[in-house]
Amino acid sequence: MSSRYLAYGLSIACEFDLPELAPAPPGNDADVRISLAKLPPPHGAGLMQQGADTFLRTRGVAYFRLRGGREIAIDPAPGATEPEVRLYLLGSAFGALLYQRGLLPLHAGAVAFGGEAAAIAGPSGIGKSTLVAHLARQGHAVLCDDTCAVSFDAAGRAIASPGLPRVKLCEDALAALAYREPDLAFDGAKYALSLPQLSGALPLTRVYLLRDGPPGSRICIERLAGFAATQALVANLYRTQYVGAMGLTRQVFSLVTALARSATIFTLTRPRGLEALGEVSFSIEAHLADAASGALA
Amino acid sequence: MSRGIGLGDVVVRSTGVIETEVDGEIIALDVETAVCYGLNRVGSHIWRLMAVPVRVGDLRDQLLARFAVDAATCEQELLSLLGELDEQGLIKRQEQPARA
Repeated sequence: MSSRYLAYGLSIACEFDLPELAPAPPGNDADVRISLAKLPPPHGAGLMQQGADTFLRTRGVAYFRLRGGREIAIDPAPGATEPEVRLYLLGSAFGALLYQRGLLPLHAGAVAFGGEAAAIAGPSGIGKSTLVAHLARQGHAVLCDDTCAVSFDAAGRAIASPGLPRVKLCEDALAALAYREPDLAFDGAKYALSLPQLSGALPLTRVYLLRDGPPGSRICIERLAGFAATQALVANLYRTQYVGAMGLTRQVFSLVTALARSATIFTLTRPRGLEALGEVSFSIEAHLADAASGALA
Repeated sequence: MSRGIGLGDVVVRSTGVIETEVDGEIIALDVETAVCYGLNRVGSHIWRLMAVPVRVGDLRDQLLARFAVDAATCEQELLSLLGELDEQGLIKRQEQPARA
């Protein structure tokens, strides 16, 4: 018997429980099947491609085999805990699986505005999740945190699918957002804040690339176009290093440039730190509202 | 080091380079090295003309007919761009002359 979940627009059947994912009703066909297995010992560490299979080894945690974008087989390392295994399953392994399925995983969170999605992208630790959580407080439904799975419809429009129904935050961000820690699951580094999540995918029309400006600097939103937009998106892919190793350079080039054509790409530079959080969140909302009313070219 | 590209050379895009357009700019990918290159408006125009083998002198004439630029500047900037593209392996020179 397996449990059913929904994430990144995929129905997932898993042999064990995944409390981090949104549950889904049982059905016959799952897009992705996750099972425990004994795998032949790996030759190395990190990501390895062997024929059509992708192997991913996280030392001391687990060894994953991803096949055809449909199967994840997991061989846990001796002594690894279930939360550790799930952390890498839902992070690195899912990221590689999304690439394998021909989706484009952005290193980004995303929120809804007026029936569309806006992604907040940037490197780890820059404050994506904190900003997403603040926007959620302002009433924006959250699609995802950390990994935004982008696909394209028949007309070439970028679509963002809901990811995991939670936002992971550090202690200082929680305090700034006035959440109380005892209510939240803790993974040793971050607290997981559960949020009501959108059930359906939305057109991804804007990507904001979060950047640090000097202390005390003004918040600045600037549009990127053409090559600059493309390069910036490449730099904000989830686990960019997987792309070449998986032999997907051509595919990802075509997806990234399709996203640069379909969505409008902006840099959002603001002073580092939590003091300006409310102001940054307000700036994005104002920017989104301008776009929705057509006031912005 | 090979000699620089001259007006008499015939150039064409390399195989192994795929390209697309974003906001009117050509973006080319060297599939082997996974390096991405972007061309500005004029560069993109030149790139489109190199879909088939073309003599560099003919390229210059076509640019002069299209853009408001003097012949000396045009030639200098064209040869400089082609030199860069050649160095990155995005175009190659052909031995035999192209048909007029």
